[in-house]
Amino acid sequence: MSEEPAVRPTRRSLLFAGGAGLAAGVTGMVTVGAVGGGDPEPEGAHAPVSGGQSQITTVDPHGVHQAGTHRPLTPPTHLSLHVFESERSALSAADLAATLTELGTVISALTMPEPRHERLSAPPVDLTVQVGVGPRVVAAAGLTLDVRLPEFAGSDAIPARLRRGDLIISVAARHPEISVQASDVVAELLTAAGFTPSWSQLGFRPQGEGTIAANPLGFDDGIVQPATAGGVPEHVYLDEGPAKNGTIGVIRRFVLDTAAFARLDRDQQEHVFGRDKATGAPLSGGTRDTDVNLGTKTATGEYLVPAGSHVRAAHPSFTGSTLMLRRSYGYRESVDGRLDRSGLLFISFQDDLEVFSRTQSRMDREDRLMEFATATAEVAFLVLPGFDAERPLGSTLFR
Amino acid sequence: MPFPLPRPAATTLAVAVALGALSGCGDDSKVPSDQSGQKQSVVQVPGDAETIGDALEVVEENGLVLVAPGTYREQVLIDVEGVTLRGTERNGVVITGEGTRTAGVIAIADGVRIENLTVTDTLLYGVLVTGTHEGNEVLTPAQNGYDQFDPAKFPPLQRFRVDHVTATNNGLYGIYAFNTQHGVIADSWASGSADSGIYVGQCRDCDTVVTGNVAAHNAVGFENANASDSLTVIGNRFSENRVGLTLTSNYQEAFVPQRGNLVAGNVISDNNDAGSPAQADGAFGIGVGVAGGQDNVLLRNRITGNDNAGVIVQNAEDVPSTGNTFEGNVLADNRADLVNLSIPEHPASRTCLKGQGLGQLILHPKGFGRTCTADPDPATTPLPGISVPEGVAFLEVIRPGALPSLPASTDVPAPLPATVTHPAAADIALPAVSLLAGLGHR
Repeated sequence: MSEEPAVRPTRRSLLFAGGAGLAAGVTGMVTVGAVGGGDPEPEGAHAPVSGGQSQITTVDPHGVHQAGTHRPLTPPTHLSLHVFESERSALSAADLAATLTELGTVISALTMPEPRHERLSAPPVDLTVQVGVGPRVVAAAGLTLDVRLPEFAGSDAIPARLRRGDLIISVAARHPEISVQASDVVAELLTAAGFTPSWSQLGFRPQGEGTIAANPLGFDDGIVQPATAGGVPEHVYLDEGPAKNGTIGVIRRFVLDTAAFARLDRDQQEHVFGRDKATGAPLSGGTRDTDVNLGTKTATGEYLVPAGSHVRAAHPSFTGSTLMLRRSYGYRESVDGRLDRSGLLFISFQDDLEVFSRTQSRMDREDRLMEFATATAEVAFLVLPGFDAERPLGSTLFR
Repeated sequence: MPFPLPRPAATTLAVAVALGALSGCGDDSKVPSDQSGQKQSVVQVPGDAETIGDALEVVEENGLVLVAPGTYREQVLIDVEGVTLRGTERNGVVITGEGTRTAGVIAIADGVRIENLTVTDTLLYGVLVTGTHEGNEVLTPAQNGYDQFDPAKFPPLQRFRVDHVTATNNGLYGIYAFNTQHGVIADSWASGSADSGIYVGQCRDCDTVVTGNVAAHNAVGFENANASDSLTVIGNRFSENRVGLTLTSNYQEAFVPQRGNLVAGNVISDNNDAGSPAQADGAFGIGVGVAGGQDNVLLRNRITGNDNAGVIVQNAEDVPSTGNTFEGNVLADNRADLVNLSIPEHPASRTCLKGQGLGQLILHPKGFGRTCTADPDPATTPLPGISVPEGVAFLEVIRPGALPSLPASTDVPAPLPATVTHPAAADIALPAVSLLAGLGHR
């Protein structure tokens, strides 16, 4: 099919499309060299400190927004995700306020470069500890915000305890030992406060460029991200109410059938994604950063970006949606007596759960990539607004 | 999907064509004799100007560009209000994209007529009439970007008429009206398009009539995305395409949902054409597809011989098809006459069949269209898939023979009226099987 003369816009029009893409497309690539990885929020930034030969970068946990959503811009390579549930049937606002305040204090201490937290064996390079709260906590705060994930294809096969959570803690860091040591500290605090772990996952991702990194199937993910205004991504953060500057997070864990995918030849794999495997460019042409052109056809009428491809199925224009901010991780599942399995920890942030739900429903109907993915856990949550010394974590919800 | 309907139109090509630079020989070629810069009310091509583009440089508002037979290798931009672009002989005046240019004729000024000529072999559009442009930069909605299209920035083009135009072998669309109001597409021919022969999209209070046309050997004969209210599609032949006619809602353009059209007195038959380009979503053998269409009336059409289904009704994403009425149509010789493919989350409702002989119809599921209530219409699993032939390259699709010309005239027509006269539904009869069937044979 790629041999066919393609019906495509003139070079001029592609130039125009490229211009529009620059305005609305990829957020850019900022390597972590500056404090906070290009953090646009100036307040209270930590200074880089010397750590042996190389410069140490840390991410300020304080600010209008919590760290771990759009900053640092490049997601750290290691993630330790823990989902907790309260042992209590009724959540008390006072207890939650106390726990979250304490949690914020611990996060401040963990991410501080100097003095280094006693439980960390090395500096907290790019360490972020992001706190999300599930539907029960949102309800306990008296908010009407919808963070209850609807059912998708395969949801019915997921045990109930892997579809819910009261506290969702994402600990990310450059180094694997730091993410797990920090999450141990958080887990101890939460256990003492009456929370029990319901599910968890260690994840990792290549360094990549900016938000873009190869997924476990070998294709670049996270290429097209929300436009930013003043460094802050649009349509990601809530803009009013007690949860203002929070965001709606969605995490879905998928086991991937990498063996079946590997049996496809390269052309077939590219048709599943709608992108070139080597360059990441959409099959409508250009480079990785070129906006996909969904209407481009071959002379015989087939889409260059095929019907059923992931790029076409997930494109927000079909559902009238905004772009989600995505920072997904791969993972590896090791069980004795069985070959390891690879998977994807899909992570997105948006200002409306419906944006995710509409897109996932469409993908369930149309996305061939879903044939290779089986959801095994999923949760939606409110990422709490940012905090600092004067404004404890969760204080806008629980006063 | 066994019954793939075209998802709403893929009008996602950002076609920004600076037409001045691309049209014909450009500004340096022969310029008409009047050196004073005085505009002319009638400009003859090639008598007064070598190219159509040159003629449009000197024609006055509400003037006439009259084109003699010949092959015009140019992309024409009409940006002069009220201009009539007329060929002296429909079959002999040929504007060709030569398989390399984006469009044949693009109108961005109000009140334009395009008549009695042939537009062929363009990559995207034969004739494009659009209110969506910035200066002379013609845009289609920027859906390959990620911003919502802002209709307030681009007011709809007002008043146009496409009449006795032959649009063949154009890559995506033959005759395409986008973001327009008060238009007529009449007595024209569109074939060999990989998207649709004739397209009307993104307008409210469209006040547009599509009548007397033939669309054949296209992926879709006539396509409507988000064109609502006063759009009347009457007395056309949409036969021998892969899909005859669609009424769709499409989030890629403004004005979801599509609603309120009158589709009457058309022949929509035998849309099982292996000789057309593929419909990119795999649709084939479908007479009428309604996807997220609402409150449309399909009246006294012949919808016959479609191997997959006479009419398919389904949702478009979260937009349900509701309130569509099918009255007095002849539905026959289709595998199924009326099929509901709506998903349970976004069910069709108030789909309503009226008229004689409803008991003879093949409804899928049984009873679909017979309840006419606001409750979800009966739905079930789709019929089995059918085999879909490979598409034919758009430049290789069979071309029509000679088609009827308008009478020759050098008269400068009066400006188009502010509004369009729509035929009264009551006056529209069931068409003959042979409606417009004799046209275009070689």
